[in-house]
Amino acid sequence: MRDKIRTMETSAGAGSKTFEELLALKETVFRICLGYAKNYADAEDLTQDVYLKAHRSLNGLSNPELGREWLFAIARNACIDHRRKDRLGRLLPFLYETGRERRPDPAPALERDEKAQALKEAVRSLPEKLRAVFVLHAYGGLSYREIALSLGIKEGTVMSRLNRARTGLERRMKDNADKKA
Amino acid sequence: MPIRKPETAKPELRPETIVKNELDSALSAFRNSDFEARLRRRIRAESEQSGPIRRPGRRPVLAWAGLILVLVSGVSIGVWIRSRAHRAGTVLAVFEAALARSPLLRPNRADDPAVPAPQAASLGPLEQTIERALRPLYQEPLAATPGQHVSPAPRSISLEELDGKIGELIKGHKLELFFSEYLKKEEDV
Repeated sequence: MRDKIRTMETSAGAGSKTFEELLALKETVFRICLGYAKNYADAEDLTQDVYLKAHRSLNGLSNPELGREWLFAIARNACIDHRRKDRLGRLLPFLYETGRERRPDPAPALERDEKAQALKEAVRSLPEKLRAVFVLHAYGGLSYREIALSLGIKEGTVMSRLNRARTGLERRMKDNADKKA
Repeated sequence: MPIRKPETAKPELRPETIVKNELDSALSAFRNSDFEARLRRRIRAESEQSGPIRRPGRRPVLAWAGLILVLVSGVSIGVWIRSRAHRAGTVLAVFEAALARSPLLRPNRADDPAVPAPQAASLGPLEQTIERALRPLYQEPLAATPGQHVSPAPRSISLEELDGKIGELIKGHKLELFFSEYLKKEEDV
């Protein structure tokens, strides 16, 4: 089966090798998606969507050397789109019925972890500029340079935004904890 | 003087520490999942899919078009209902005033200054028709100018006659819907 898939990928162009290289980054992509998503299952679905999008538009990748940054940019855009659809879907559920099968969450312990949930809420409430930098760094494990390339900003900006994101998260988490207490 | 250190979160509450704990359990679950096999199945299914491939951007466009349509029709219906309600309210007010001024029906309130007579100039064509039709019931000109006051000459009128007159009016102007509730209330009283 794998050979058959390979053949199809080759017929789609010279991108099959690049795609296999990109597939090696699946864990990093998953980590980024986890930073944006509400839970494990959403993060895994998002990772699938990211790779499907990347596969569809592989021919549009002009510089294969920047494939990593290109993939991370797709991941970020997919996550932002997902969040937008999630919001709109709550308002108009019939428009965004995906028919996607709901799988049991293999990491239910995450949902029970209060600290992780509090952090997720805080991350989701950050402005997008700060959230992107924090997610790519803390979840994705990307270097300042890679984040700068992926977001099209300077390294200094990455550092200052990261600092602001950390401060904002700590403050939000503390406020939320005080409210609950 | 001792230098005060800036307040920082406890190590276990630092965002990066929490993220690390979350990632440890999530990544082990991800590594054990059949992610790659499912992805390859989806890619294969998409490649084999016959017919035009649905463009991913179409659904949001439909959503926005639907939303705009719903909003526009909602506002139109709202404006229409408001205009009808306003009209019904005006007509009811004229009826109320006319009936309140009738010495036959409300003898104690005939000269009640608290019940103002509707001004003919402020009435629309429908209201003027109703007012004209009801005038004989209480024999008093509506909004008479000072000096031209005609003293009321109440005539005997049966409730059946009054009922019939109002019924004719309502039927003639297709106002059953608006007045069915009103008449029901009157009957109850």
